[in-house]
Amino acid sequence: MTAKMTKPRVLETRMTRQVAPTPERIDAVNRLLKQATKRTHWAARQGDAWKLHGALGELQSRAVSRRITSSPMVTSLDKAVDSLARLTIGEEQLSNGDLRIQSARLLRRAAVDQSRLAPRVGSIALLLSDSLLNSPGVEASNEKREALRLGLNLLMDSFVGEEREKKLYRALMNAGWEVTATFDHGEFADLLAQIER
Amino acid sequence: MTRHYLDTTALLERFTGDATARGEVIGRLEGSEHATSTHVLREWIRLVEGTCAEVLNSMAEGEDDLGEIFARLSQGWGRETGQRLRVLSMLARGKREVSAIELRLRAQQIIRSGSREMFGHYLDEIRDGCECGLARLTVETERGRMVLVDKCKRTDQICRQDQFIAERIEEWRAASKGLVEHGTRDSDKNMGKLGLAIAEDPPKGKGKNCYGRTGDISISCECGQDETLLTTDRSFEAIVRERGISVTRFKGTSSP
Repeated sequence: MTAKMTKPRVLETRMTRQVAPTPERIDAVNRLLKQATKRTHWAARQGDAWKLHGALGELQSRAVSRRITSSPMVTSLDKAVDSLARLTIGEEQLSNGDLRIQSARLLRRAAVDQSRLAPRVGSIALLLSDSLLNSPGVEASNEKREALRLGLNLLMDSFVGEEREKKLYRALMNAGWEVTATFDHGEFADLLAQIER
Repeated sequence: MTRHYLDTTALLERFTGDATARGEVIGRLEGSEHATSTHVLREWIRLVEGTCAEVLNSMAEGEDDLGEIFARLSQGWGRETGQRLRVLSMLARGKREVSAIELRLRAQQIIRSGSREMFGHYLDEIRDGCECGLARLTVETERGRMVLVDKCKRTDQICRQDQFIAERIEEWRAASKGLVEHGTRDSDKNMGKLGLAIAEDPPKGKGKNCYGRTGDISISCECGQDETLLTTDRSFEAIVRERGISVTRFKGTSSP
């Protein structure tokens, strides 16, 4: 019975440490843990410690290793980081409008996915996405690439401190990235009308 | 290059204004450094961080429609309502439809770091003649709600606004007189009359009379003779008539 209680917990810890814990992955882990529990109950009913040990080992090696550890899912953050890295290679890439838009979309998606698990990383992704979208006409320069690289480094860190977040704001604004969007009268016409009343 | 002294409206236009107003500010400020005061910082915090805090509180209570959130932001803010709408637009990245997650992430980030970084972007000096206590406060979390203290009482010992006025009594009187004699709106004339009354008894200039009624007079008192006050607010055109400083008023994002 001890094995039944401890093994699944070990599995969970290993899985969440090895790969980014997205909601999909957590669901997958939970399903596997449920199966592990059933299998362990069955093995325990047989009364054979070796069978119990074998059931857990088999599940761990076949299901967990094959489905998650050996073939890790590429998260939206991984995709966003990859796209942003390509954007910062050179001025040619940064001048590519399509690549900018694609990076901005991937960063936004990553921000949404990270919002619960790592909200500060999510905020950084959203700030970078906003900067790319708010500055469609700005010309590529080394300073602009350096500012994005700073953001890239933050996205790859597990914890983003307040001072580093401020540093990114400064770097983006100093480089000429627009961190906020302009006000659009048409978009907010109904709310402006509320003020008039 | 002209050294500017920035009013709250100029800074707001830079980060929340429409393309025209934003272009005006950028064209004047880019490439050099400028000054402002903690009276401006206090107003900026109330408008930007205060709005973010109210948005987060609304969302915590289940509101996720921008219209509903704005209806709540509009309550009791008079002429600030238009400015609050622009801050809300900034949080929504200029879109009427926005996901609650994005709105929350931006509001949290602006409170945490963005607000002060935007405020200080063009500045090399924030004058603090009154040692304003409200300008030193940040949004705090209390029992799950975001709280910003943006009001004080005349009896609170968190500033030296009375001494600030006494030390600049000539500038204060001139600014108040300018409002009374050249103000084009009743609200400006009333501000001038109150300013003249406060000049006779500076401790009366603390509390609501400071943060709510004579902010523009206080702001103007720290503008240097060699600087140009940059604003969208017409009250400053009346203030500087008697103060002998220059002002540039540009057309801000139009709001009702």
